[in-house]
Amino acid sequence: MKRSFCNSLAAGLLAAVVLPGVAFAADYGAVFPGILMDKVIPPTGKEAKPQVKTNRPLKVGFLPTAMDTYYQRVLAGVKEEIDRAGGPSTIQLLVQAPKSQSATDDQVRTMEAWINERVDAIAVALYNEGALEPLIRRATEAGIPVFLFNSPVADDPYYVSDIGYDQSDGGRAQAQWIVDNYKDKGEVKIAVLEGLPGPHTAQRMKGFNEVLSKYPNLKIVAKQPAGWVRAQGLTVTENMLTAHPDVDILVALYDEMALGGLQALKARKLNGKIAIVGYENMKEANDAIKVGDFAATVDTGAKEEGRNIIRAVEQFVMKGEGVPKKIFVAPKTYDAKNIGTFDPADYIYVAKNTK
Amino acid sequence: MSTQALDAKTTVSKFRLSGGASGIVIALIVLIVALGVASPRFLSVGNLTDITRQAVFVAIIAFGATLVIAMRGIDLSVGSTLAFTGLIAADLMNRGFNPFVSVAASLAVGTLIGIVNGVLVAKVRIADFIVTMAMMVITRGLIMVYTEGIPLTGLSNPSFQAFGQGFVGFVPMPVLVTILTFAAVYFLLYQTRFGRYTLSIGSNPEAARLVGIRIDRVKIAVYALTGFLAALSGVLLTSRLEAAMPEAGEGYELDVIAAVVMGGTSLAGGKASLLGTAAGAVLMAVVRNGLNILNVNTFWHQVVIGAIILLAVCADKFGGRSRDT
Amino acid sequence: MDQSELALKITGVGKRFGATNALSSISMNLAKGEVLGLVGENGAGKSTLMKILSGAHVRDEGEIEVDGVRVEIREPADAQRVGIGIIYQELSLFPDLDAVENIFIGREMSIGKSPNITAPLRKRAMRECARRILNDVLSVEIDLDCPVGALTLAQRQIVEIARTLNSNAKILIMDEPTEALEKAERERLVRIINDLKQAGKSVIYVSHKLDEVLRICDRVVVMRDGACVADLPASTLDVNKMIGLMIGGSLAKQFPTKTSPGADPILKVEGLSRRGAFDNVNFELHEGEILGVAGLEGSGKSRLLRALFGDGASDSGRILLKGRSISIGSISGAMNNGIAFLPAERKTEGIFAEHSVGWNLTASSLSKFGGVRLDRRAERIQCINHIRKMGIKSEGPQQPIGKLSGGNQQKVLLARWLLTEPDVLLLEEPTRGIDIKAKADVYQLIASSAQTGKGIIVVSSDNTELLGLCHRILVMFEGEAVGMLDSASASEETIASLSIQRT
Repeated sequence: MKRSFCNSLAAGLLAAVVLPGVAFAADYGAVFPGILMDKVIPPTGKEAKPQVKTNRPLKVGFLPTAMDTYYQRVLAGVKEEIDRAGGPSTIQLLVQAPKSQSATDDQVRTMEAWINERVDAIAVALYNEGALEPLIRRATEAGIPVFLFNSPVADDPYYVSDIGYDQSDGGRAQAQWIVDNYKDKGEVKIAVLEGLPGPHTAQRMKGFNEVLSKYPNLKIVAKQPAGWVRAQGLTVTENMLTAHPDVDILVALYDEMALGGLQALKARKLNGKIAIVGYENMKEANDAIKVGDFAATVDTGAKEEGRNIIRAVEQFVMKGEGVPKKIFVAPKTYDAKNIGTFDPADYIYVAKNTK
Repeated sequence: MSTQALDAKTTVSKFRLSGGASGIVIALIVLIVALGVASPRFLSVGNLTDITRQAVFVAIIAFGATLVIAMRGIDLSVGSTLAFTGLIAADLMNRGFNPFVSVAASLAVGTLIGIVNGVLVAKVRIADFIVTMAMMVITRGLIMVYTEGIPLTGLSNPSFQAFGQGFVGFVPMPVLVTILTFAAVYFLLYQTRFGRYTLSIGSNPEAARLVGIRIDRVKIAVYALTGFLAALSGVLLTSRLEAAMPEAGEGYELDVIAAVVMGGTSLAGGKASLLGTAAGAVLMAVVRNGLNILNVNTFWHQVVIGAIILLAVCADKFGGRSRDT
Repeated sequence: MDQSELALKITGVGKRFGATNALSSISMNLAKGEVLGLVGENGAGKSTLMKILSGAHVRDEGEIEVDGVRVEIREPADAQRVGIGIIYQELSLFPDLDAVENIFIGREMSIGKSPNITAPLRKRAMRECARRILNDVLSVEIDLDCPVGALTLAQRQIVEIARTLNSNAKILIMDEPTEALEKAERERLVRIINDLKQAGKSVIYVSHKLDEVLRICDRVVVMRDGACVADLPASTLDVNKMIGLMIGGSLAKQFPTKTSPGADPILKVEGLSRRGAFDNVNFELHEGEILGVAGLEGSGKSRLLRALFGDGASDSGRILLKGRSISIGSISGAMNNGIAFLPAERKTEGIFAEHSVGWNLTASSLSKFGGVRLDRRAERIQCINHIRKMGIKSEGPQQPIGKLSGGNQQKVLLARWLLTEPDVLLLEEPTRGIDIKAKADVYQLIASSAQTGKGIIVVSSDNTELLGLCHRILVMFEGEAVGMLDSASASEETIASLSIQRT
């Protein structure tokens, strides 16, 4: 135990000296298609160092904050990329999900188990600022590289790479769609369904406000929390419509809430009349755009995020090459005009049938 | 004592009987008036319809929980049962079953969950808190196993949609269902032996046993009723959302207990006010509606809701003091 | 009496609750080393006075002096400080704690000069101290490590006395201390009181058991309607005189005249046994007969009675009801066979305290009132009838039962079972804790039920009651029926000697 601690300390020190030079040298675009290089930040030097592990299968832990539609899509990307890399005989995937979004203690238990089991890499989604930092440090010191995904607040110095997208880019994309379609339409009233108070809500709203605030005719008249869930999306929308029956646009920071809002609009025969702008491009939201119930939604590249996790593992743990500290892609907005271009296969895991 | 005085006494006691919920009703009226002043739209017919429609999911379960709590029991499994049974209805319909069959199956499963709770509490004699908490976790877990966290959607059958979204005249279907449920449970609680037995068990379990009440049977029946009502609520919610959500009903167990206790039913058992429970459930919906309408800052929501629960219980204590002594 | 020897002096103490005068200008003295009996009907003001002395109530007027010094008693801690200790009727011990912990509760010995609540306890010293009080002062052996909940009632009471002594009380108030005790235990308590008296402690002894008061006390104060009506040396009083003073007139007759029972046996018990409870019990109960069951606590008398009601099965033996062999597996089974049971503990086994007189009255015969829907009109009429017939003093069926006196509550419970129209009525301590007038009423009700042909079994620890009320008395000892006495020829002594025969 003590020795391995000393070893990893030495490794950490070594990495601190060697890595900074490496990190910016490579052209990451080839490995991670669509990576936004302007989001990349310099490493702190405390990360695990790249390594060439020859044991097969490589054990990789996958630990989302909960299992839901979004993470299922990420997982589909992870699995497809594993198939591409050689299948389960090359990378063995361990999946664990806590029972609810805020059960950080469940994540702690899983991380501890994986560290004790000496897995080869861990990919984890953080819910809170500072969450799991001690565990990420322990894993790093034990020589296990930790990759983050879909974590709005990657603020500790130990993780190797943060994979996903910028949450505020998601909010920006929603706002930009509104600007593009409504900036010349006089006064436009917007109601917003937020999630539970926390970093996801805060960052999405930050990007949203940043864009929208430049257009004084686009006004947020109501902004209320609906707990990320459909049932509350429904009731809160009803209640907001009572206070503001003249709303033009309903924005939800997650499609689940937007779908609840759609139920409320349907009951008042307002679907299609009040524009719903969702977030996540869930399958149902996608269908709703096609029939005109939704105006737009923002796809945050969930499946690509999953692919990038495995790509990063391949680079860092198998090939021993450095990876950027942030591997972010740009969210994409879909509305009636371009919904046809979306490939529905992006929702599901497509098994590789030819070797 | 003169007959006049006797009559007066009877009137007073009758008033008290129906006024068992006086505290919560006062709190509710005060809140409604205050919100009506704060926002002119609050008292619109549309909004009041919305509020009742939002209150029904908690209210229906709380009617059953009123009996459980009056019996000195507790049921923490209702939220999970709601989600589980909603899922069953949705899944059966997606597999092509007739909506009525699917709903009936869902209600049967809810009742069964209640029966299992009841048997474990009354026959195996495990603490109700533990039994229903375990049931809560198990059913929620089964939901996750089956759905992997993804909602079940595509419930386009119009007669199923009508259940949660339709109107009968100007009364929303779910509200009508709730009123009928209220009437049925009211009848059970105040007009039948079953109700007497339930309250007797809560009042003095040993005395109840010694007057020949089959305590285990009554307990199982009360839990079964609550399971049935949780399923009814689950079906309504699923129909309302046109989707069965894996996380549906999370935290309902506490909302339900809050509604019951605010309504004046004591956790110590023995007394129940079904009218108070209904008022409690409506009060919770009014508070949330008011917060949304007044656009209260997100961060304050929980604080306000908690404070209103405390105030309502205090109002009931104050309003009910004469009853207790 | 020399003023300096007074332990307690009460002058003109009064207390009102709303419009009612609970106590009006009470004055009395208590000498050091004196045992004072305090008697009176329920509601006479005894409890109020004792609560004022122990700090549970605050007096409205008057003065209290302890050892010649005027004291203010505003809360229980004040009473403890001036040396007044009270031993409650309802025991106030912590059943899960052992004797030592109970004796020292709230006054634990800790390590350190001014110990705070987290200071380590001096367990050995406390144990030694508790042992000294129990063994040397009270001369009793009690298992110090046993949770007091597992001790007998009498032992628990002694622990409570020890706790009061440990608080350095000079004046001990005992509120109905022998109510639930068996004879031998009562004797021990009498001895303890005598010892305390020798040690210079003063005792106020509150009781309904008038013969006992006469035996134990030096002096007796009789209260009625919130006032002292007599303060006399015990030697000048007898039971009838005391009753006369208590009720403000003379009681015509406590027990009703016995009428002879019918010839037909209604209930026959043959060789009824349950391991560890009762063994090979045989008896016959005739129509119209009142059969008493005597015995010490633990003699099996209550378990036998409850077994007949289906509460706890028997291992072997037969029960014949009207000549037909029946098996009683459950309470509802017993009820279906026309058996009714009035339990001893009114509060915990009898009443539904939150509910009305009517609710309580019909609790075991609801199936009489309609099928699915309760016929509340019929229920109400029945209640009104029974309230009148049983002489229950209440404002009507809708009055909460908690507002009734113990005696009236007991009549409601008796009515509850008569309403089921039973053939056999099992009564367990039917007059425990109710006052003299109510007792006479209950006896009358029992006797008139017997006259309608019911068979009645009465289990009681009051042998006077058994002799006065019953036709025959079955005496139990260690689970066996050791004698069947004809009450016309039996005496309390014969019952007592059979009850404790092999000791």
